[in-house]
Amino acid sequence: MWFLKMWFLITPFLLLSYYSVYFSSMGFFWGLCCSFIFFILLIKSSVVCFFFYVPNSWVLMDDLSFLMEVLVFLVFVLSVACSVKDLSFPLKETSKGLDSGLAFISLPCIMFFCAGGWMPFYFFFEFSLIPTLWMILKWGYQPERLQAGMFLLMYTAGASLPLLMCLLFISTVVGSDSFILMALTDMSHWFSRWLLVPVLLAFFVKLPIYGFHVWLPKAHVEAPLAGSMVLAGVLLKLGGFGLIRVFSLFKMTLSEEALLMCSMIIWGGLLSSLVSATQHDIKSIIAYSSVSHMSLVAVSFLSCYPLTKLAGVCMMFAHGVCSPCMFALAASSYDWSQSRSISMNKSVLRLFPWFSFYWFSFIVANMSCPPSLNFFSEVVMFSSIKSIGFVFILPLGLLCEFTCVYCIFLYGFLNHGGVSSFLKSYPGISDRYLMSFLLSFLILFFGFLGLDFFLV
Amino acid sequence: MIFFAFRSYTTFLFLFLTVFGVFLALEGESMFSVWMGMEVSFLGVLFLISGETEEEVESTMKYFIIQVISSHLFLLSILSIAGGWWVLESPYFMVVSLLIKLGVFPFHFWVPSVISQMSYFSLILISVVQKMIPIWVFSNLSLEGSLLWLVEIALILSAFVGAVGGLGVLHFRTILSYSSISHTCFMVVVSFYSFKAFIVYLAVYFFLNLGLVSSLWSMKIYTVSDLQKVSNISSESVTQAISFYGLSLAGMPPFTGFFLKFFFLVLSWNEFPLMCVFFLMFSIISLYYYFFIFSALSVFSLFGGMSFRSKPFYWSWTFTISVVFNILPGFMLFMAVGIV
Repeated sequence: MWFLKMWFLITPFLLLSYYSVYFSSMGFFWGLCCSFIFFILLIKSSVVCFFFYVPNSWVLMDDLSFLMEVLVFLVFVLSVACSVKDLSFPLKETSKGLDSGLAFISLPCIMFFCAGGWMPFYFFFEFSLIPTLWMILKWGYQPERLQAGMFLLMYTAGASLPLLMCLLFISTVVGSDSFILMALTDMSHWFSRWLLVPVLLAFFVKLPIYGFHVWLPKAHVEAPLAGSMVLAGVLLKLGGFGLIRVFSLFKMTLSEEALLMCSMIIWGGLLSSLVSATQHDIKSIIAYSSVSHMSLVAVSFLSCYPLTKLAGVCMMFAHGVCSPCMFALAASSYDWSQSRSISMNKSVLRLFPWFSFYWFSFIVANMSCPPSLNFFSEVVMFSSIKSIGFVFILPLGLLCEFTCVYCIFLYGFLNHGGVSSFLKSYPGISDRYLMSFLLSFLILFFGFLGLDFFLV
Repeated sequence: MIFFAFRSYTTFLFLFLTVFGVFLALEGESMFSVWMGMEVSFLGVLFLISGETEEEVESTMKYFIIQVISSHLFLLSILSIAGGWWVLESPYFMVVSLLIKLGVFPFHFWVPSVISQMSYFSLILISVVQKMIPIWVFSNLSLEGSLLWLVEIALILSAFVGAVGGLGVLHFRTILSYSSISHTCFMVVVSFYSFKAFIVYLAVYFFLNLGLVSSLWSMKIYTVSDLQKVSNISSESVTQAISFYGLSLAGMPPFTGFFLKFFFLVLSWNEFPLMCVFFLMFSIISLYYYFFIFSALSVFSLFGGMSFRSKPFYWSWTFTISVVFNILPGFMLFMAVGIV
């Protein structure tokens, strides 16, 4: 029996060690990224331990932050690799610097995930907003990006100022803002439950949840490719991470309010997946699909069951890998047809078969087909959410179905169909896309071998 | 010091007079010295803000009338409190006169029309230096009961005016006037805690405002249509650096201006929680026009043409000062509040 188990552990190593050699030919960052992931797999599989690093009262790194840091790093490398067009052919001399803009987005995210107190948490939560805004305004492609930036700023900053107030209130009552102190005290009877509402609101806007989601399609559509990738991959997960921290530190299990919120969130997810099926803009479809996946994540954290938390974290990670790649695929279509419309980009299967393979794999992962990570997370999530309320099965099932609807709609419209007479095969598409897709494909479809990484 | 040009030989004299007036008010022994310092400082400022153009003279006139009325009311309240006949409304006279001087609701109507016609140097003087003495008096008053209620309502409503009034405005000085109204409300509440806290707030606000105003003045940007003048290849990076001031004054992390909001919240959360809630809600609204400053300077002024030569990065003191004022102290000040 141990012989089989050993192969389950070694297979990811073998695959990644083989492919990391292949990837290192793409450049320094690729080799770094792959060796980083290899190193993590080594550590996590060899020792049954939980990881908890607290050097001072401002830094706290546990399993979840480690996982999220891996995700940030991965998405950063993917974004840099895929935004070849913006990096090598900037529109004008002063448009250089997309890579440093990306680094400025990733830096506060990295700091955010290892924050050890509520004040650094809030500071970096807001800090990540400004470089994103800068990136959308400076390197976005269309003039609508001004309104998109305004929506992004007003929604997220507007929801997080009440968060600041509540965090300050809690810090003054508890005496300190450090997570360690709060983890060791049982504070569930010190505050009224209504205090959590502004706190949760900030994270619901960041995630986003259906009622407060308006900034997301605008920001995703108008952002440059790297910005979209980092937005979808990392910045939405800031909200989910915040939810986990709030629930685990405040130790308040909301019962009636949670049911109310869960039902509204699930309904919102269903609506969002329906809306996604009606869009004509590829990036918009993917953006609304992000909203519905994040609604599932929010519900899974609200339920406060450990297994559902695993499912939520797994869904965050899987979505964080899958969604940027879908945006990169959409950008590859934009590269050769200069249009994001679904009716203008057709017949990818005939013109770019490799891209069609990746369209298929990521769309299939998005709609949670086995053996992708999304499948495992969604199965566990659905079976746990029914324990909150059995009636949730109906909207969840419908959500799953409509996810399949828009995913297959997206795949079919883009990949099949006749070639229009004014579209030609374009030699300029970079093969860096393919490299990054391969890495994400491996992570998504072989990640189930390491499902215990998500048990945070 | 070069940017505020030597318009006349007497600029330094009147600056000295202004500062001396503040000193008189703060260090004098009686209420009369406060009033005297107020008048002396006002005299100095008056000479400085009446510039050359007709609009400046007009706004100086408006400012003069408002300030003289409020100074007289202040003097009346001093005479009534310190000696002579005490009437029930005597503390109200003092508070109301200070509210008129500061430009707080419902006496805020003079602020946009006065400041929008003045030069940038006068803007700094009026929105920073002239706030010191009235707020010094505020920080020494023991407000309680219905007097405190009056001040609280006035401040909350003027925060609302400051937030809503700047929406849809295209002239930068008018936006800065509404920004100064809402920051004045913050400053008054901070001064209830202690005068030293107010000085800290004022210092950071002064540097931010000074940086923004000096940058805008050196590029001669007064309204959105002036941005065409700076949309050339050499000033593009500088204008983008200046745009950070907009979000900094709005109170967004990681800029220095976030320290202003955070400092205010930490100090006044225990005593005035409801005011903190209202002020934060209104500062969300004001974020719209601060975003307008930010986007106007960073996006509207972009150079739209092709650049055929690779232009090296154009350093200028405006850029350096913007980074030094906005970005460098941001995180450090935030941590300083946390430690202290």
